[in-house]
Parts: sequence; structure tokens; C-alpha cells
Amino acid sequence: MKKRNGKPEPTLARKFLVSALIIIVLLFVGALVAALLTGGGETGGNTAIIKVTGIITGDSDSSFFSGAGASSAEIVRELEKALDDDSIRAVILEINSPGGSAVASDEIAQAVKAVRQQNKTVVAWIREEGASGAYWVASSSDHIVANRMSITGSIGVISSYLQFDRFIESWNVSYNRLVAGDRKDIGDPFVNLTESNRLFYQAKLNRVHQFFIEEVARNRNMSVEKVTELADGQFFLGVEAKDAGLVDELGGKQEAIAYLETRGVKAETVEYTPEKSFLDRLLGIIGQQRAPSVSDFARQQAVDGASNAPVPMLR
Amino acid sequence: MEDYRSLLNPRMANVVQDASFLRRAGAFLVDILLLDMVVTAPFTTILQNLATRAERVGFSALTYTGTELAAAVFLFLIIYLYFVLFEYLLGQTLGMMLMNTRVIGRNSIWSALARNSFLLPVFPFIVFWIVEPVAILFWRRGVLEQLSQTRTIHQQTIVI
Repeated sequence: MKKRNGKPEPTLARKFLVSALIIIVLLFVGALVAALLTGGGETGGNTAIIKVTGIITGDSDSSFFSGAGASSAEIVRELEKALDDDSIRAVILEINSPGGSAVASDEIAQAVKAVRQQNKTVVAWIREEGASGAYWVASSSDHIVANRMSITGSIGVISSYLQFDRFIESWNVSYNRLVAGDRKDIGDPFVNLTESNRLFYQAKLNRVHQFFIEEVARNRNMSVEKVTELADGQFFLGVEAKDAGLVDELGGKQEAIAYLETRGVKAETVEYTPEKSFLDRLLGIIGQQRAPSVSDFARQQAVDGASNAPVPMLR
Repeated sequence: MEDYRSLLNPRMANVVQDASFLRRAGAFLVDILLLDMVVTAPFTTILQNLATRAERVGFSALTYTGTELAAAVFLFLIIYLYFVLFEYLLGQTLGMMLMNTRVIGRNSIWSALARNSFLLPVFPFIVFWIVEPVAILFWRRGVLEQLSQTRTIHQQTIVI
């Protein structure tokens, strides 16, 4: 047996074990150091890229079984970081979202406006989709760039739920309803939606729709009448949206960066990503592989637990 | 009769020689590829921004943030540790195992640190980026190997 300094040649099993140990230790140290260094995800540059990807919701829900979504809480946090960071002079909102919760969309839009008020330019870059609530967010920026084939617009409000009252009746199951307040169980899947309640709920949706129209009109310097004409819920391709005045420019990231240069910002981009624990990161990698599903919408509607009323969705 | 028996039971001999430049370069390349795939992966996001900026403004005009500089330093340290730990604990790295080479001579953590010090991206160690390949190419033994009293050998079994 060959020897080195009197030590016997390591066996194959020892070689394998030691090699695996060294790799694991170095990988762990590397991941730890990288996580400590990245912190919130910022690594220099003067233009923050903040992603709005997936369905816009209020809170993050990045469990193993759920798809990746755009949490307004996380996005607002990133926008606030960009606002507080003196080295950041501009923000590019990378949007690929079909919309989502009206409240969450408004929260992001207000945070975008707060960034703009500090003389930091915000450009919305719509990729495949920037529709409904995501368009609301985009409209709050200084400039909107979209691909000519992007899906955008869709200025409308939707709320839906399945109704099971006749289904359980056909199975001879009775549903005991104990309610104080006639409209308390509006949207309860086991109760027939009366015409009165339908009109009541429709009025709420109309009101949210009106907020949406007014906000887009204000953000885009368009008349309310003009936006109302476009706000029948239809979606527009990027090229159509440009003609209608809903987007400013056709293109992608390079056009967004070029616009920033016209505003005196020579963009050095840096991705802002939400702070996540090691486990979150691990689950996120797996979760990213999964597209949003119908159950994601259903989950969003269930969030509003205390009331049965379906949440108005901008999607 | 004696010749006939030797044919039935051929004698084997171990031939040990200093590893050639190509064999050592191959082993180093395998190690770097492996490090790139596995160990340095967590730093990709940090250094990607740096690479993007380098493409835009060029290396001469490139400015670094504290985070990027720290990431680069840690990256080199991890690569350094990889070579030091493997050579100290096993006498060979994974690339060396594949290329059938190994380190012999003085086995201590100090000699492992010294013989791999060319990986440190600071003066005077960067001088060895030129000196070591030249020395190995001409004399099959690097300067740092002489200083650390080690050799990198290639061992093969032949029939005699």
C-alpha cells in the first residue's frame, strides 16, 4: 500500500466520504456567505428592477403547494427600499401579471407614486401580460413599455364563486342558515343569490370599476370619458394599447433603459428581490416551476374569510 | 521454463513520474468546472450584475460595490479552500482523481496552503499565475511545489 508521510492510501469509501463532506461544507459556507451578502437582494447599481410576477395578492403565500405570486406587501417593501436608497435613481417594474386583488394593486400603485414623488423615475416594462390590476400598477409609473404582442388593458372588475344550493338540495342535504343581517351571507355558496343581493353586489363592483377608471385617467393624463370607453374589460395587444394611449412605447428592457437615459439616468440595473429565509428560497425554486392555477384564484377569494362576499378581482 | 512461467504470471511495476503539464491542466480544468457548477453557484446572482455592467461599460471603467468585492473575495477563498482541503485530506482533488495524479511529499495544512497560494488574487501571489505554468511546462515541478516540499505525480502500473 502506497503511503504519504506514513499515512496509508485512503480507501475508496473514505475518498467518497471526505469528498462529499468537503463539497457539502463548501456549498453550505458559500450559500451562507452569499445569503448574508445579498441580504435584501440589492447588489449595487442605480436602477432597481422590481418584479411583479403572477397574481397580485395582499400577502405572500409561497408555500410548497402554491404557485409564485406578486405579494403587494413584498413589492411595496422593495419599493420602499428603493425609495430610501440614495444610490437608486430609477425603478423598472418588470410586469408579467394578469392582475389580482384590487386593494393589493392599489397598494402597489400608491407605493410607485411615492417613489416618483422623490424624483425617482419609474418605468413599467410589461412582458407577456400586464392586464387589469397589473395595468393599474403600470399606469402609475412615468412611462409604460410593452411588447407589441403583450396582453394589457382589461380595465374591469370581476368577482365570481360557485353556487351549490341546488346541488346539496338534490342530495337531500339541508343547509341551516343562521344570519343576523340580510346581506351578511352574500356570496355564500350554499345560498341562492337573490336579485336584490346581486344588484347590491354589482353596485360595489361598479364602484371599484369607477375607482379603477378614475385612477387610470389620472395616471395617464386621459379624460375619464376616454378611459371609460376603453374600460369595458377587453384586453388590448401591446400595439393596440399604444394606439389607444394606454402604453407609451413598444419594446422591452432595452427601450425601458433607453427611456431612463432620456431622463438623465445611465442605468446600471440591480434586481431587488424579497428577503427570504433559506427554506423559503429552497421552496421558491420548486414553486417557480409551477404556473398559477385556478386554485390560486379560489384561495385568494377564500382569504377574506370573515365575510362570504367574494373579493373583487382585477384580472 | 523460467520464461514460460513469467508469461503466465507477468510482473507488474508501478511507474511514478512528475505529472505532465497537460495532465495537470486537465485536472485543474475539471476542478474549476466542478466548482463553477456546484460550489460557486450561490454567488451567481451577485456577480451577474457585475458581469452585466462590465459588458456595458467595459472592465476599465467598472466600479465595484462593497458587496460585489466581498463576494469576489469569498469566491476565491472558497476555491482556495477546495484545493487545500482536498489535497490535505486526500492528497488529490476530484480532477486529480480523474486524471490519475496525486500530491506526494510533505503533508501538512501549511504545505497545502502554500502550494495553492497562487489562487489568491492579490500581489505577490498573482505572479505565480505566470510563473507556475511556465515552471511546470519546462521542469514539471512548480516553484510553489518546491517551496512546500511537495510534488504532483502521475502513477501508472505497467507490465514488465
